[in-house]
Amino acid sequence: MRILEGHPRLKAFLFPPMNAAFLIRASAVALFSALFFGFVLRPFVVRGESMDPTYRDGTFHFLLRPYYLFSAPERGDVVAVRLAGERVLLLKRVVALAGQEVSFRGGTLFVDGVAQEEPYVKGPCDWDLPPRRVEAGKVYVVGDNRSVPMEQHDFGQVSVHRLVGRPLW
Amino acid sequence: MVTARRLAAACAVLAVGWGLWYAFPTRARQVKRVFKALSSAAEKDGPEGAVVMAAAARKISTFFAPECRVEAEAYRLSGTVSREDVMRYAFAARERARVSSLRFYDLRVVFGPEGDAVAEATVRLEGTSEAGDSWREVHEIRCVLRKADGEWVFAEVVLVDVLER
Repeated sequence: MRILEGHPRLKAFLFPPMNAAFLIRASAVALFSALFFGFVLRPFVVRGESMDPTYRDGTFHFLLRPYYLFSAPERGDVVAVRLAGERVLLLKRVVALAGQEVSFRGGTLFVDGVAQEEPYVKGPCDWDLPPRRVEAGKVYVVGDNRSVPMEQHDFGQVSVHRLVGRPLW
Repeated sequence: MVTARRLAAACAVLAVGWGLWYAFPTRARQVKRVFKALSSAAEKDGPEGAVVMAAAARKISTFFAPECRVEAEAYRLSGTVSREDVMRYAFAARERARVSSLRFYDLRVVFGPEGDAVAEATVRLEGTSEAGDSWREVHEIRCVLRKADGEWVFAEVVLVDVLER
């Protein structure tokens, strides 16, 4: 403590007096943090290889939750998909919107019959999926890691109501 | 002295309250305990012999009704399974896995007019095979539990198709 003797303001900052004002300030900071990191910028850790290499297993990110309150999902967006709740989410990329036709031929994604450039897909892919049209109120999502067999990869159309935000980075 | 007595009285009231809360769970908590117990029974943390595996599989089967309706397109399962079927599946799964875990998240329970419990949850299955390959699966499930012989058992398990190909 002797090192702080000549710095009363620093000492007061690091070791504030436990009075009512301090407790109110600390409570306000705790409440703001709980609301901000619970409802606006939720921290999450990636588990799994579905979005590899864009989002690697074990990496830490923040989910911008209110994003889709103000804008509709667009093709190329990485989105978090809610399951029964929000403790476990699926992280996928939107590849087609409602009304569009999706298919895979020889590992290449086709949207409305047009082959898509997907620079985020790094591994080899040999998927074949017959064309299907995305229903109204839904988007078609796929992970970036297409080097796993198609049967082992979770993808498909999902209701936009299940999208709970997008990663901040 | 008075403060110490008040503190002791407050602790006693809290302890009695907690004891009553624990000893007399609500129906929803009884159902949630079934999920927790199933999760615990399904846990495997290392190699185990055939007898232990069979006992674990038998225990898992007791969480299910004698006739349980299962709809799980991801596993090509649709129809009614018996406790023997559940036991067989559980044994086969334990035989393949060196370690495995089953966790439930975001569990919500509501009760139907006939007293059945309808539960929704996210289930995460994780494990490592004997060959060292690891897997991880996540599903949304909807279950119906009924009370039989004083215990809540799974009468229906449906995997919800969140992503439709």
